[in-house]
Amino acid sequence: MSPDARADELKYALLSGELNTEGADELLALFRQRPDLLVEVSSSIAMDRILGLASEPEEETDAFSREILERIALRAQRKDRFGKSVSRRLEPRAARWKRLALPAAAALVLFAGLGWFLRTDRALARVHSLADVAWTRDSTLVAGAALERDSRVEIGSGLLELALPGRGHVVLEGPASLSLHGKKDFSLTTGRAVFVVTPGGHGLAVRTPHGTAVDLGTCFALEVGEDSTELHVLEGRVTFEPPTGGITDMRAGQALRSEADEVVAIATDGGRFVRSVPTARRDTDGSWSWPCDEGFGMQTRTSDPAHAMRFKGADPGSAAPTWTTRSDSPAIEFDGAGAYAQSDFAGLAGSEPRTVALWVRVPEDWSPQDGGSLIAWGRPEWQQPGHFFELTLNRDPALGPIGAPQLDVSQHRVTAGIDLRDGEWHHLTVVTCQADESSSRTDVLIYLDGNLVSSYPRHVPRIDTQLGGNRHAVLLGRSLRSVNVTEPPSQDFFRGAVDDVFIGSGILSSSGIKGLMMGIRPAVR
Amino acid sequence: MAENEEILIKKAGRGDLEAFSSLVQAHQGAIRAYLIVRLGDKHEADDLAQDVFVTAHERLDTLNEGQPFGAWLRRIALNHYRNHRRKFRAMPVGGNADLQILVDQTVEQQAGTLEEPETLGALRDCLARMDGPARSLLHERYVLGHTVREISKAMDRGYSALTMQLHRLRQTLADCIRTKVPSLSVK
Repeated sequence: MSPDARADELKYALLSGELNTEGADELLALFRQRPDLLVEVSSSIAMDRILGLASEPEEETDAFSREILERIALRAQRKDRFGKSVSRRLEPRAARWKRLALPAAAALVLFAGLGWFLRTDRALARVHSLADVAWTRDSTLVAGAALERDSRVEIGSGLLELALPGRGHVVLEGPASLSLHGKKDFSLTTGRAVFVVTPGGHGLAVRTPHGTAVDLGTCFALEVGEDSTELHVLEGRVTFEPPTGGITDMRAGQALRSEADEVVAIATDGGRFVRSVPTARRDTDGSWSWPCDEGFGMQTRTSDPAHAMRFKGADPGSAAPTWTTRSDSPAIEFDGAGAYAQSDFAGLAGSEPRTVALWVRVPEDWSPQDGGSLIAWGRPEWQQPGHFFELTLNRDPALGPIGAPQLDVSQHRVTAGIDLRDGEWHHLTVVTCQADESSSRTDVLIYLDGNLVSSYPRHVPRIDTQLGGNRHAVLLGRSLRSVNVTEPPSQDFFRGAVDDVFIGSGILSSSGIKGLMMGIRPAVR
Repeated sequence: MAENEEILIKKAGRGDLEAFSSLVQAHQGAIRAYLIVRLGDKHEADDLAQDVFVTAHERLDTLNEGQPFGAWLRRIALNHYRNHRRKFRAMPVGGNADLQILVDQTVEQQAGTLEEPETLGALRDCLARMDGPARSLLHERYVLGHTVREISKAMDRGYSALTMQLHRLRQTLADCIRTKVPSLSVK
């Protein structure tokens, strides 16, 4: 073999990682004699390393940047007292899991490939969609991941929808633990679950510590606590057999509670349960945001100058909104006495999925006599269900905590379980999504400071926002109830502050919402 | 420094994460290239690159007005890289530590030009121009991440021939970059 041929042989062995000890010694000697060969090989190694980076898809680059910002935000959150007031208002157990949410989100990304790899035909169930899930075990599942016989799913918080191929689906709400023993054999040891069973799944049985529910063609919800289990039949028929024996046949609209030694009938309450988890998606209609970063003047801009949010007073005697700050950046203050802002942007129409988000600060002394409307659009037609869309604060103790975020779509309201009156800034997001094309139900998810919070009910009849005929279009700080009133009461004007307003067509995932909190607006296709 | 970048730095210094996000987007390619060429492992390099940006965010107040942001980031990257090397020493190539050191040093010298933002963009352009079997081979190796051994089996081609072809393709790409960015002296 010629010296050149031998040099090539050694060079390629090094580049392919198959150089043995003798070859390494020989190549080292050769490199010392021929620096040009060393440069050639090193250049090839450097190029090999950088080619992987140059070839990576754009989404991977986005994920890299997002993870950095998540780490920065997480650090800031640890240092800052910002989250403390919210944590105090959350239940202790839920709060523990919510602190795990960001690491879990990062883990979801890392395990994505594994999740897809695990898809097999032996799957009893597959993960369909998730919302702000905090995992309590080592394994982390992503959309598409398969669950085989005798697997167990445990979540600390959030919502998880599992598809049961040919049998329907189940929605688990954390904290919850569900075991899969067979195609029609499940056990729920704690938490809430809604089973939507298709004809192929009839006979599906769910064991709980307080009895077994067997489907007879239906949609039913179970809530398993330490001392009792509740069964609510939402559609169709179910039988229930407690450990003490005796089968109870139940139909839609009926509910029971099974305790240690008795089964009692209770009022059914379908509004407590989530029947489907929206899948994150971006729609082509785009998104609109008002960063509120000017800090001066009488309007805040968006990317389209025509849609600037202009500051107004309701009547000649009313003051317009003023500027305040959030973390040293400008934000908008509303006096609750007639100050509001309006845009020419008409808002999103119909029943299309949407994500609406903003930062809000509600004074500690805010009362039901104050106005709570944060953002609103649509036709103010109070008798027509779903004809407008208004994000407000609750003023009715019968609907939930005073000062809690509330979605009002005329005739129907969804109220979150957390009072915002603490004088601190909070990030509020509402996601709405029609369950499916034929459904008359719109699911509503409310996120506070990036975490999914409980709300009641969990859905409203179909949202069908009507645009046109309303000269005000999108309003900030003013209720739609006031628009056709000559002298609107102060209750129609929000007292507090808002910042960084976002209206997006489509559904943002929980990680997308956390990105929004950090000022990363989703790209519009 | 571009005026726009100065504004972004000032905003980021005041806590504007969106502004910092723009800075990350603009410089992530260069910093990741800087580290990946030196470390050889993409995941290790990306972890370290994230540390670089987190450190940069924490120390933005130490950046002097007018100081080039990219060069400042590279200094942070160099410090992280040195600390990393101290903790995790590389395994010798083929059992020969001297050869490993010599190759590492030379790769590092070569890296100087590859980590410039223009180089990465030029490389992407050059990759886009590749077609036919060369494109397939590069796709298998760098997009799908298959080893040469796996590609050899899948394509039913000789392992040595593939190693040689990949080496030549890398040389071709280096030539292509030189054509696109003449100021860079990729050898």
